[in-house]
Amino acid sequence: MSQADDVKVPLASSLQQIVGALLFGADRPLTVDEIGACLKSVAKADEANETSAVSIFAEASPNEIKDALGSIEKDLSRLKIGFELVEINGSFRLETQPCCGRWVRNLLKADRPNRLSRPALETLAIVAYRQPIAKSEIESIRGVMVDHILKALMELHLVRIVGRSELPGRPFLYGTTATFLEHFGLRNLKDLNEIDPTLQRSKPSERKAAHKKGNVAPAAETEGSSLVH
Amino acid sequence: MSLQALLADDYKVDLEVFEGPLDLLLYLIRRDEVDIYDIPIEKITKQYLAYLDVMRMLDLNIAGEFLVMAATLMMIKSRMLLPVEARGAEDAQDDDWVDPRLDLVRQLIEYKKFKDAAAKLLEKETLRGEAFVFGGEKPAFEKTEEDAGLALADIGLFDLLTAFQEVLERAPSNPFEQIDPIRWSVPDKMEMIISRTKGGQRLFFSKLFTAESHRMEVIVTFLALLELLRLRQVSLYQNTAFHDILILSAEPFNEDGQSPIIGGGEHVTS
Repeated sequence: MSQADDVKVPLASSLQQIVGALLFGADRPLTVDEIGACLKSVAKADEANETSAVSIFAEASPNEIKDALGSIEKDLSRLKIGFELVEINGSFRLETQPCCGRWVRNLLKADRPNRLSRPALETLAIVAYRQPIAKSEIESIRGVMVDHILKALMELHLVRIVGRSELPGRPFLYGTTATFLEHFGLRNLKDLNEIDPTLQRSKPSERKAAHKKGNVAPAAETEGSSLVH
Repeated sequence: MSLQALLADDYKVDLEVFEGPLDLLLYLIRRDEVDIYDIPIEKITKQYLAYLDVMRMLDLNIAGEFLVMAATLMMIKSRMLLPVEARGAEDAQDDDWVDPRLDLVRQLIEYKKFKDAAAKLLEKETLRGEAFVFGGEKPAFEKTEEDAGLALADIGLFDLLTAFQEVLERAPSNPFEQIDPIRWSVPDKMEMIISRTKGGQRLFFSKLFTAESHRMEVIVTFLALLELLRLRQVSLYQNTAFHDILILSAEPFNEDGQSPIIGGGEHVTS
């Protein structure tokens, strides 16, 4: 028997402690499933030991893990110790707070981050809120060709081809990527509705209905003209 | 005399404009604080065409959509001028008369929603840029050449064109003057701007020109500024909308100040 086995390392007493440790120790964002799998696999490795205390954490449900994450988030923001728990695209990780960015950047000698140009951001907003969307639809909203910008957004992995339209010529349909959520710090696409409530994300089927309505010119126009007069 | 003939060497400024006619219209509406539901079409059309002239003068690659919009504006203007009786003849009943501006207004409002959403995304993006993970790693975000264009992070192309228009109006232009074609060149002016912004110096747009600056000198200087923007050597800031524009070097830590991109007679294409 080695010496290390004689020394007892005290075990964590709460799920929150373990989840917090995993977040800190991980070199990547963690999902709830990954955390759950880790808890189970530790318990499994310790199966032979009947008195082991690790098995009770293996029972933690996804909701309990989410609760633990929630209380970590609350505790961190209450303590104001310069970092916070961030959820992006279904994964969780610890990050420094944006208000401390200037100092962290200086210490790490990091460059200022590149930002997208205004036309690129607008094109991206259209894709994000109206996806899946064809290039021609983007162009009719922006009133200008978007070939270059769309290509650049694809090279930056912010936009990807998600399918093809049933329209003649079967044009490509574009949508946003996981990198998009990451770049703007969004939990999921639903967050877009919170960003701009006037621009609810609409599904193509709803849009088609609205479009048909627009084709019935007189009805649509009288309805809209009340805006003008 | 064409602008190209005045550029002493072969330096070709090839500027792609990614803003469209709707951007220009919204800009004019915002600047003059006019009601988007009741656009003074004659005034706006006049201003729109003036900006188009400036863009042509600078040889910007204007999209065909700008010309289509000019035609649309003029059509709306002419229909607005029709007396009420003539409108009645066209439509069965007076109540059926549809404001000729309606389609355009709808399009502008729809687009404005996305512009506002883009502004909010920019906020998000900026905040994200200030957060770091353990060890300080961040997903690297390299700009590609295609995205370059006229990318102005803090001010719009039309703000810049407004400033340019104002300087140009003041600049003396004597049509009978003999012009020495090697007096001004874009690379020279680019070097001038770089040296005046070197080491974090603040250079205001209005200080780029003097009262005696010749029209052609103004144009060449402005082209040099656009080219530096495109190459991301400078960035522009504007505190309040429609105020003077501050030019800062994009790389204040670059001590040598000599940009490798300005070679004699080198072609830069985008």
